[in-house]
Amino acid sequence: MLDVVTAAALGAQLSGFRYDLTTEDSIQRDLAFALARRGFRDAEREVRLSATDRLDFLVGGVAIEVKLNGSVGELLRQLSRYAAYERVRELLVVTARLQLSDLPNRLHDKPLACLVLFGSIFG
Amino acid sequence: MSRRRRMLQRSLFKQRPPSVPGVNKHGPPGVPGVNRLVLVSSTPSEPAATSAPEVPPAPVRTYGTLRLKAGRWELAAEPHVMIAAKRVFAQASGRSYKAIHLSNNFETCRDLEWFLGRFPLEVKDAAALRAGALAHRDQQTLVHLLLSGQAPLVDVALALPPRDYQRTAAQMLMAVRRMILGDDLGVGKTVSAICPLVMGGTTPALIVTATHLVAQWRRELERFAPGLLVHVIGKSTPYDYMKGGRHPDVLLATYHKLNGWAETLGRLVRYVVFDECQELRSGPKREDEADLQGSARGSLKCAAAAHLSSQADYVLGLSATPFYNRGGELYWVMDAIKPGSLGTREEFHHAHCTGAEPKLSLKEPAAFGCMLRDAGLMLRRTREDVGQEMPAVTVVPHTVASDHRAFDDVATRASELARLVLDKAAAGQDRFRASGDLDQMLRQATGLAKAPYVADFVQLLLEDDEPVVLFGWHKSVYDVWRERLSVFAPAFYTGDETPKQKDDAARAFIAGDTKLLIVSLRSGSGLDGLQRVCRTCVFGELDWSPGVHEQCQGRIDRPGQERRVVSYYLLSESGSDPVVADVLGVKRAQIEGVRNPHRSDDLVERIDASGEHIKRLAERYLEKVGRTAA
Repeated sequence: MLDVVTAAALGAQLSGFRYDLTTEDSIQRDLAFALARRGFRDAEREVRLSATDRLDFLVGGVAIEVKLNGSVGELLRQLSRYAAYERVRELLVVTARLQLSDLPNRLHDKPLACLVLFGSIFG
Repeated sequence: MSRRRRMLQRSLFKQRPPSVPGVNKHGPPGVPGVNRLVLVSSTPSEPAATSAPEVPPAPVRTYGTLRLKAGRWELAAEPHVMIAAKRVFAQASGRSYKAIHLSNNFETCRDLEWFLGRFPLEVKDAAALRAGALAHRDQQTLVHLLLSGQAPLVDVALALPPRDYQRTAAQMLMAVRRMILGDDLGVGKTVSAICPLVMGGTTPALIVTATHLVAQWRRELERFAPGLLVHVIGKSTPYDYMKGGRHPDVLLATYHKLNGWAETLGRLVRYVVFDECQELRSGPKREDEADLQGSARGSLKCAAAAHLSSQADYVLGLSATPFYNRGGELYWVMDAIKPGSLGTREEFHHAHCTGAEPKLSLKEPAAFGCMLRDAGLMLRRTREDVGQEMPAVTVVPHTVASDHRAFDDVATRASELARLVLDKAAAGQDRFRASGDLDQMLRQATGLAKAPYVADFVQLLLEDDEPVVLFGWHKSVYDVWRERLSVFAPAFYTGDETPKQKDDAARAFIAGDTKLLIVSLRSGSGLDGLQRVCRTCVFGELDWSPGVHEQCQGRIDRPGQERRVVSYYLLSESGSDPVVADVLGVKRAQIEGVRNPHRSDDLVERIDASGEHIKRLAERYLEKVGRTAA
């Protein structure tokens, strides 16, 4: 495991699994397994940043947001809020929707990566 | 409350029998046939089957009535009981609390019986209710015994011995009479379906399959049951097919011919097999469907299938992908195989679905899958279950470039159609037609835009000496591939070829005469043999249904395959691919839930190091052409 993990590297590590795409919850459950399998022992789930903001996962400063529904606009607003927190160093979006992957590379000067669960959509 | 009153109340409770009167408390719990509930409320004069005569049966208060009315159960009771009934019978529709109506099937009878234990009702048709509930119990026991391996397997006298799990499937069919066999691709569903043919009471039989699979079925029948007289139905209208005064044991027909033959064969055949039963997913023609399109519309073949089913003694549906899109399709498939087993469409909608007709999705796909198994409506074994483990498929999604001219060509017409689709004032029928045309046009444009790049990619694979099965959909796209890959003399297995030409194409590919087989996304289901020579498939165009991709991949990922299969999905970033990929994700979750409800908590790890795969391929290519990758 790397000492300082980047969002892009984390995404690559998590790509080799077949996730249950039924709901955001089912993907989160599988992500928790995948993180454990890849040895990310410091992964925290459901991290509350404020009364309104809660991260799905926080792994060594990388905030993971699992998204199945909604629009890119909504997602960007949400991510912008997260990026404002000091604890969040980089951002990773995990989605099964290609349309939600059309995101900028940086947000509030923090790197943003996206993992589309292709392996689970096909085959 | 005074002390005396409390004591009085306690003693009153003591006197009450602890459970529902009529339950034989001395029978072993949970053993059907012994621990049976006698419907005290319905037959007050009948002595309760209790062996504790010292406790006189308490008078039972009834809350309403339960009767069979026009073939359905009508439950009418006091308001609070109706509220409870509506909670228990989620399939009941309507807002009225006066009465609910439920389809009369074994499952409902059993549930009603259970409900009566809590709220006794006056039952007018107690015998029917008891019979239905009993049948449900018996069936459940049988299914349990068979699946837990406690029932002895009977001998099945085929020319080549069937495997145990194939005998189990045959035996289960003989017990439940109607079911879907959803075994994984390549597990051997065909042989499971042939077994009953020699088990007695099943001939003459009718096997309905896709046009291109008739020859394959015939070969399998000859291999496993050479003693059976087989006739392939050749025309859409009935004719005399008797041979030397003997009626064939097995008739082989295609789905297209079903409508013309349903009346004639309905009276004759005792066992019907619907191969690739997802063909029945559109359901029979309905009154309100004029506005609908494509598979949302009912079809004559489904009505014909339902008719045949209702007349036969045994009906078996075969498919590892019993529906292609949303879970609502499974209702029609199941209803054709075992009419009424899921109640009416409306009941099914209320109990299990979300969304609006005709695109119903299952609320809880996994729960629904469990229910199908428990009710003996579906049997499914994975390759792992039958000890047939094969390496997991390597899925490589890869973005290819696309030529924007293809989109420019259709831009004007596409925008016209798009405006019509979004125009709320336009007639429903026009809008639906426009959306179908638009989908067709954009998918074709997407296919064409990436076609040259797909061809280049396939060329890389072929030059690496790797035989390839390439999947596509549009004729114009095939034309581009044909031209660009002409040096490899591709063989075609698409909608344009006759069954014989297709058979020849597959044989040429298997014999090694060509290294490239171009197959239509929707015409390859069931095709066998490619796995012996090929381990690479490429999706040059996408389908809307994950089941279709799986069927395609299953052509090479099946028993006989000795190497790891690699599946390349070539996607374009523009056009319809991004949208299609999104929809595929939603649909995938539906079918996965139904098929594998008892998913283990452990994740399936896949080797899809996408970038790596392509990089290696490029390196090997460059080495081959005499340059080194810098």
